[in-house]
Amino acid sequence: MLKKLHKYANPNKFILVVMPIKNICIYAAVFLIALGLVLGLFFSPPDYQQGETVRIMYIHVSSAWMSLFAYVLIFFLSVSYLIWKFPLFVLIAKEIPFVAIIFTLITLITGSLWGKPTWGTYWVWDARLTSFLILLFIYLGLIFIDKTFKYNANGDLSFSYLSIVGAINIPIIKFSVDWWNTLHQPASVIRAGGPSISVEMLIPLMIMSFGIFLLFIYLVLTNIQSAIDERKFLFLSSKD
Amino acid sequence: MDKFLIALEMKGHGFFIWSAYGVWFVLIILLIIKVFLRKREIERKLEHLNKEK
Amino acid sequence: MIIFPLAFGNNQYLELNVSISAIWISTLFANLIALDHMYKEDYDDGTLLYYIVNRVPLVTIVYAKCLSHWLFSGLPIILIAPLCSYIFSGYNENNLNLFISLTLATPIFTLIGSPIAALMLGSSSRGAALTFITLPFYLPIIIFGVMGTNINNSNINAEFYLLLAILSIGIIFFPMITVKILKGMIN
Repeated sequence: MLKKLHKYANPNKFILVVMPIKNICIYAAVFLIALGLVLGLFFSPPDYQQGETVRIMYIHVSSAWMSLFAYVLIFFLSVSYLIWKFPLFVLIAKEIPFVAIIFTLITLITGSLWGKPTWGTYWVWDARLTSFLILLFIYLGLIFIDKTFKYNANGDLSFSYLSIVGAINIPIIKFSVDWWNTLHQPASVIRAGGPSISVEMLIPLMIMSFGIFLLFIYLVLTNIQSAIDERKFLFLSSKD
Repeated sequence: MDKFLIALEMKGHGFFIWSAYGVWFVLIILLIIKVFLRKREIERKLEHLNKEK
Repeated sequence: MIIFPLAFGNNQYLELNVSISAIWISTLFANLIALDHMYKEDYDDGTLLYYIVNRVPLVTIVYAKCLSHWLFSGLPIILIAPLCSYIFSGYNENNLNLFISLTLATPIFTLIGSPIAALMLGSSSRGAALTFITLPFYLPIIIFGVMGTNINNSNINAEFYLLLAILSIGIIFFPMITVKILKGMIN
């Protein structure tokens, strides 16, 4: 199976395969996000405990999942780069942090706006919140290490090792609500025994998350395209 | 009109909900603009290089 | 460390919490300043390449580097911290806690710092970038350390056991990663 995949490891072929996917992604993403917004803002029922503020959930939870998923993706790409040494893997991995950091920022800001009416404060130094802040700093570090080693072979190596070391944070974020007593409510969708929130809320949340996911894929693919173009430009201009 | 305003108020939590959605929208639009500017700049550079040759 | 009470600008004793934070932040900065030079000179003058070519076991080198880094940046602070805490706040009830948590945390700082110092070897601008990248990995240790120091009834301290666990995993794990990274960097 790996041999079949070998031919897609060439960046130019990768771009050719990926172009149609990209166009489908953006249309589907815009449609799904619009649908999710309408459903979430006007057609979903208010929560019996938190009232109307539960509507912030649809953007908060979807961006939180997205930023966690992006880190898992970076981790697997870095590991496969270190094993198989295909430069394409790290090329993809390097474009993810910039997009993901925006989603992490959205999660933190909407989370604190949600916390004010329900907990009474914008910010507490609680396990879930602190570990998410550390995730933000790790993304900043990854962007920074990419910037300091621009077009240096050691940079790829540093990037992948740093992302592997930083991956310790991901299980801590996921299970922090179970391990410590925190203000943040425990997981209610992805948990053993099925989701515990009602179907009317689950459907807009799922639509929204899928839309955000497609938007993320679209942006990362666009960034990969421009990164490949930048390398091409560097190569062509150094030849003269 | 009044009904619409009451719907916007969300029983007193309107400020938090609408500012959260506003922040979300602004950040995502900024991200998309940044990605597109990068793409357009490198395409222009490549075109310029091809013209020179 | 001595600058902190002066920076607060009065000759009253500091609050206990403030003095503990001051000690922890000084520890952090002492560690970060020395971290930059951990492998830098050996990489620049080719000693590291020489070690690899001559098949000197790199694990030994890494452990020796970590030990010397800790002796210069960790040990002095552990020794003077109880005294400083007393000078700052005039309160020495929690000195044992402070001593234990610093003894556990400073080796962890050194061990976490060593792979990251190795990562930054090839880049041109190192000082600020290194601080920036290392800091998020130190944050959990600082949080647990300060929590451990602030506990007043010292019967049972979950934080100390946690730090001890991190230390005992890290003392095997981090030098291993460092060796991998150093080999990758030289090739």
